[in-house]
Amino acid sequence: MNRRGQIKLLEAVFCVILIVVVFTVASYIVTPSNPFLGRSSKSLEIFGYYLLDRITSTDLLDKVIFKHDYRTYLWEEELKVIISAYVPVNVYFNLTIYVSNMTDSIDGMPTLHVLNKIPISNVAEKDFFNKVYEVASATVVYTSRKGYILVLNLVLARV
Amino acid sequence: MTLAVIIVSIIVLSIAVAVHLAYIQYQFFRHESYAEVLKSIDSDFGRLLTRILSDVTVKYNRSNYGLFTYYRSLYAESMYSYWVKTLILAYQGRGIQVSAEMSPHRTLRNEKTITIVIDNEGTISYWNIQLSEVRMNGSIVECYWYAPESLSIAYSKISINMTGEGVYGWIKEHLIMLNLTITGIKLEEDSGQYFVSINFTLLDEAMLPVIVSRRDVEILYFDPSVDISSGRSPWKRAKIELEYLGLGNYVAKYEIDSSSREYFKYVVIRVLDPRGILVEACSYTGFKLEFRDNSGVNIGGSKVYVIEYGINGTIRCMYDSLVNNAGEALPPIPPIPYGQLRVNESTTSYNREIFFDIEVWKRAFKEWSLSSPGEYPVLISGRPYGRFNSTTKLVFYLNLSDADRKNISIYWKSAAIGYVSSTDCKLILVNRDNPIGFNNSVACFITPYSRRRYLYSINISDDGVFSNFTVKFDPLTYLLGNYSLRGFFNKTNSLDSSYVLGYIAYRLNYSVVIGSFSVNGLEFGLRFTYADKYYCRIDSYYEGGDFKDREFSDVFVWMYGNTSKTCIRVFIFNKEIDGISFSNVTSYGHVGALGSGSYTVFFKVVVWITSISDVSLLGDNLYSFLMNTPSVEKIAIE
Repeated sequence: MNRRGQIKLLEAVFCVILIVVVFTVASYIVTPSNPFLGRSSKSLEIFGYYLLDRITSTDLLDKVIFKHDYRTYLWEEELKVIISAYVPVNVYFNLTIYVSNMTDSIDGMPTLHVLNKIPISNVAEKDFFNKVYEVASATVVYTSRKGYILVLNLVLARV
Repeated sequence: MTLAVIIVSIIVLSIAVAVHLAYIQYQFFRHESYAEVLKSIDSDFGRLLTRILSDVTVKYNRSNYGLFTYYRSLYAESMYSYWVKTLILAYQGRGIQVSAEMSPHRTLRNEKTITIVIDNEGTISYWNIQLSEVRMNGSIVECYWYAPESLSIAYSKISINMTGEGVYGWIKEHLIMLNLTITGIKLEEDSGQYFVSINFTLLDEAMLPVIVSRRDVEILYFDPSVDISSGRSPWKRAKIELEYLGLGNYVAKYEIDSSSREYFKYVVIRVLDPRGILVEACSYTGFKLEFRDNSGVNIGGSKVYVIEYGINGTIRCMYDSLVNNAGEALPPIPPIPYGQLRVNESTTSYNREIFFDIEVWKRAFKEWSLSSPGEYPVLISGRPYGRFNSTTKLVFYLNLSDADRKNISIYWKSAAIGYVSSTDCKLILVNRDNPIGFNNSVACFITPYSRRRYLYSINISDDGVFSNFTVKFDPLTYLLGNYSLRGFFNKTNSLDSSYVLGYIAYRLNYSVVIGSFSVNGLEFGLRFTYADKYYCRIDSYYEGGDFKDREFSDVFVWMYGNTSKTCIRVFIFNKEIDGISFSNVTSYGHVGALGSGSYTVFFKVVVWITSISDVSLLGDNLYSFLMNTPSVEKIAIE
């Protein structure tokens, strides 16, 4: 084998190595995220909307939040118990309720203020939802009988 | 080298395929997500309209001001706008764009005739009552109340794009409604006690039954025995028993006194449904009275009378309470916002709305004849709006110049309104702060009762505008004592041809109607000169003024003397005023201004002696009352 043949051989070997590397990298890149995880997140999100629909389709929220003075009464605990009754044991939630306020609007747009004084959640750890892979959230707008327009943001996680 | 290119191509292709798959997967997941979002928006949109309708109907009903458009603007339009903005804020990450229909125009019901079965202790009759078209008139909330079929309605449509989700043109409309329909009213006697049963239906927008309990239903019935002079309302709340018959049908039963028997068919029902929406229905939408001039006097001119009508069906003209010759009690006016009221006059050849006044007094009149010196209509909370009650009078003029008989329809609009403007109707409101009211070319005025020495007159300028309401001292008023004037004025170029009428309260009694009678051949001239103090209730009015600038050419005054039923009517038409000047005018507050100077006034004085014209309601066969004879002309309401 002359010198030129050796170079060709080396080139071929290098190409093979390159192909292997490229395919390895490509296969790593194009591998979809865990399909189960994706499907599960989707179902979790749907479940979140279902849950919010359940608590907003009746006057339940009005009765819980505005039954007493919402600024002093701990209605959050009451709501937490109600939501806990709906969610499976391995699902964790955190509901944040914002109230839309027109009085301090910015450029004609209302501002959102958190209504709940304490977290409405079955998780004590603050950054719990950042650590969990299977997380979904749902947001709905709710017009209360009292005339308040609330924005409900529900974050769900399954472990 | 070729091999390398192929390999690179394959790699690029693989990556492209992978990205494509990822995109498809992304779309798949997002699709599910926006579907849920739109569903939740749809739910809250319906909820929003329900809340808005609840707020507007309840607050409008409880306000007693009758300012529907005010509450609609306050609670409906602002809330809707607020909601749309919140929606944009909540979903801004999804690229939401919202287009809301704030001014819908849509017909929801055509004109129709509804029949109410009236069972008066076994005697069945039917009221066929014409109802107006129901439509959204450029607002998201409408109330068609005060009729046997009453509706509270909210309707709107939203269109949503979510550019971040690839969703365009999602449109949803919602109609929220509460329909209360009175179908029958029954009076029955049981062991000397009288019971009224009212059948009504309550349906929602899908014509599904709405279930309510007894405490959600309020029925007002008319009790003539209530002494309205004490300010109490003759419309009493009934203690009802409510029975649900199924399919939205209810029967409410309550006991009434025997004095209310004659009025059992006049009812007002208010219902608050579980959604918080209120609706108010009335078993009748108006009534028609037929008048005839029985005086037998041909005065050769206009015969115009001021008629007053009260909440309890009291009707008066001059001194006298008019009595329905048919013997039947005149219908009461329900406690509705008086901006809803209208008055029409009709003959065989025309039917038109006429000007009328709603007067709100500080207290109810006792038998409509006694009033305290200085009493005159007042404003309620500074705004001339409210519900018709025992302190309220409906005043209109009855012009029998062109017909011996005339029908007067007093009715009320079903569509709730707000601020009354001259374009809405011919209502003229006068009160203490606004003693003269205007509506297009017609003015209505009223004066206090105890303003001795003052003579009130209308200054009609040449441009067709009632420019001034003037107050003038007149020595002859010493002879008259306390008096008050009230009248409607219809501006024309000639005073003689205009409707100028009023009546004077002499010694606190309404006494006579004065019209702009053209009495030819009885005129004569009188020239006299006087100089005296000039008084003006509005002290700043004449300061430095010159009477010549006041265009007194059309000023008229009138005086009155009463001897039993015979009156002397003296009309003094001021045709000319010469040389009036005030050299020194000093303001004395309410006492007025002191003026000096002399001037000559030429008056045409007309003296006419006759008995007071007698106006009466027609008898049994001619007295026309809408609800008794449903086959006759129906009152068209808007």
